[in-house]
Amino acid sequence: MNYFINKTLYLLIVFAIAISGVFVLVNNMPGDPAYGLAVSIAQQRNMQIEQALEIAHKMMGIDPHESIFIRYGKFVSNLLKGNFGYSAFYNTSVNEIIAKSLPWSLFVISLATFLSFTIGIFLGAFAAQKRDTIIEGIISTVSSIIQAIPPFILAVLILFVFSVRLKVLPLGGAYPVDIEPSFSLEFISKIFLHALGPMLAIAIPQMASWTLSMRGNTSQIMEEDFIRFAEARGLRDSVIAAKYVRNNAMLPLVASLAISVGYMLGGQTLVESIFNYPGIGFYFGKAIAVRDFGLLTGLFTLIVIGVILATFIADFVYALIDPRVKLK
Amino acid sequence: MNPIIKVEDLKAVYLVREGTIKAADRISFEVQENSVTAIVGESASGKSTIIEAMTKTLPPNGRILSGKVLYNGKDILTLSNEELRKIKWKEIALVPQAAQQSLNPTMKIIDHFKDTVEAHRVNWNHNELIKKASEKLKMVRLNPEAVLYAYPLQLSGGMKQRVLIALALLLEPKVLILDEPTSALDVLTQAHIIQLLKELKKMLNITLIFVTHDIAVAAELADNVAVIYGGNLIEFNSTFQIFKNPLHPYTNGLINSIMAVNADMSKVKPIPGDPPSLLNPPSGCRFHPRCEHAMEICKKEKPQLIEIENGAQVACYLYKEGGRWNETSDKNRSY
Ligand SMILES: Nc1ncnc2c1ncn2[C@@H]1O[C@H](COP(=O)(O)OP(=O)(O)OP(=O)(O)O)[C@@H](O)[C@H]1O
Ligand code: SF4
Ligand SMILES: [Mg+2]
Repeated sequence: MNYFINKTLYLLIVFAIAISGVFVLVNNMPGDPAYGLAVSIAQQRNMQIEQALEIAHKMMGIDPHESIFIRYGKFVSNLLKGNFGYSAFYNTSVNEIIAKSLPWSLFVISLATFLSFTIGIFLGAFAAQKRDTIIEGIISTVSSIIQAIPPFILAVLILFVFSVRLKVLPLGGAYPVDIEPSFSLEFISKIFLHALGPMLAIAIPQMASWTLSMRGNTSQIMEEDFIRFAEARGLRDSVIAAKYVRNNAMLPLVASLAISVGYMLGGQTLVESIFNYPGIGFYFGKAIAVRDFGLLTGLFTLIVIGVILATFIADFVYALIDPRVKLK
Repeated sequence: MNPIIKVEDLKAVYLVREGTIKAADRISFEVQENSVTAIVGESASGKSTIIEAMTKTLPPNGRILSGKVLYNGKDILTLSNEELRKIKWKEIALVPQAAQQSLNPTMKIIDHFKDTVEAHRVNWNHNELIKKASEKLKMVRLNPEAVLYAYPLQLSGGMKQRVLIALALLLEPKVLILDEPTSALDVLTQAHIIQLLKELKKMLNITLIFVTHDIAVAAELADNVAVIYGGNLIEFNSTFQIFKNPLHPYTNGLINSIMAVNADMSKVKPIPGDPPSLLNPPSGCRFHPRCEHAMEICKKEKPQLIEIENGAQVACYLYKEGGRWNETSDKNRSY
């Protein structure tokens, strides 16, 4: 029990620091955070920029004469109320943008994680079992190369080859514009088809890195005395491979799953932008491009929270599955 | 009597970056059914290597280069993996020395028992398994309720070692090989385990082979003693004879130092010199740099293990087959 109290306290402190960090960072960016909104208001309503700025400030709930401490207080209290701020560019609350983009991101991330993890674990364990053979050499070398490819380059490649040239994948979006969202089989299959590009771009390097970690962990475990002792007891190879080698080798990886999901949330800005895929990363990229500080702050906060939560979950999962941690 | 195990010319090495460690070289001996054999020798002399090679359970960098291990006349080393797997534990069980790392850290003790039973298709239901496991755990003085559902890290070193012994007793093997079975135990528990081994020896239809560097334990338990020096088997004799009339100069030194401890501390005469390197072992007799009887031939050629009288075997040029001293060295024998 103590473990959870400690962890929760720790989590709250990290949250506080991280959120303050985001605030300071964004507030020190050059320019008025309301400027973007003001420009679009000025254009729409055909008014002076000063006037538009005033309106924009009001819309975003910013008082330019307020001290930074009061603004910080407001920011925090808004956050505590679950309010992530206002997007000037989209002229709507950040919460709304999160609500419609987060599911897409999570969808792609979970698919990518599931696929890369299962295949990576399998390949890594397989390579380790084939130690000192050409098979291990091939798997390891190819994985090291693939692991080093940035996902956005893969994204461009996939887009070019499969969408532009072969035309087997769509060019962008989460689903075709001419279909009404529904639970029909057709719509669902389209969703998967649209997610495939970004998913692969993220999953392939991930898979390579899971493969390498799993291979490393597995060959390390295979040297352990308890493997030899399991063999001495006459256990079948299949039982040893699963219960003794794989389970122990996988343990640290299962825990880092959560961390990797957390990082992916913020890490796929470029991939989502390239595929025009309306996830968090896409809006994050947009916010930077159009200098929408409100949206930027909100999404940034969300991503930071995501990463911290993921780390916390990873610790928790580790404690849950590894008796060595659980019992401490 | 029939030998249940016959080791012939067994040679095993470890591959390391610097070369090969010749940890067991030309090892030959016989183990009679239902007898107790002790393998003694100083640390790093190759005791564990011998029994691990015999059961094909060497660490990943260990290699068996040659030799035979006949179990009831069949060579274990040439069996198929599946044939060997069936014999392991059910007929020949080896309790390893590395008791601390020999249990799966993410599995409860009970699951180790369960896996073992399932591997050999023993038809026990869950209750029977618990009953048998508890019985064996009690034999090694462990509380089954406390141990069965624990993870290895919750157990002390001595407890783990006893869990391994209990596991080894589970299927009532014909041959039980124990590597330093009492090394991690306090004096009381040690005495208990020795008592247990004594009872096993009487009670079960079981052949015991155990490794120890404690020659007193060997004296207490064993029918026969094999003395290992620098990866070589240098003497094999009945326990009685080994103590009464040690043949090999090394055995002689070993026994003398033990006896001296019991009699008069001032007479303790440690064997001079250092244990040999097994990476580059001395030529000829590996004991020659430390032997006060060393002759020219000792440096050049390795002495074979020969039978003297009444089954006593020794590898030393001081002796000739059939029990006579070598003429030339007779006068050197001062003891
Ligand atoms: N896995 C290994 N790799 C390399 N060398 C090894 C390995 N295991 C043992 N050795 C070496 O082989 C030699 C014999 O080791 P072994 O474990 O058989 O000795 P031992 O007689 O059992 O000693 P102890 O009484 O300390 O257990 C030693 O020199 C040791 O350093
Ligand atoms: S063979 Fe020679 S060196 Fe070796 S123990 Fe006998 S006398 Fe000593
Ligand atoms: Mg040993």
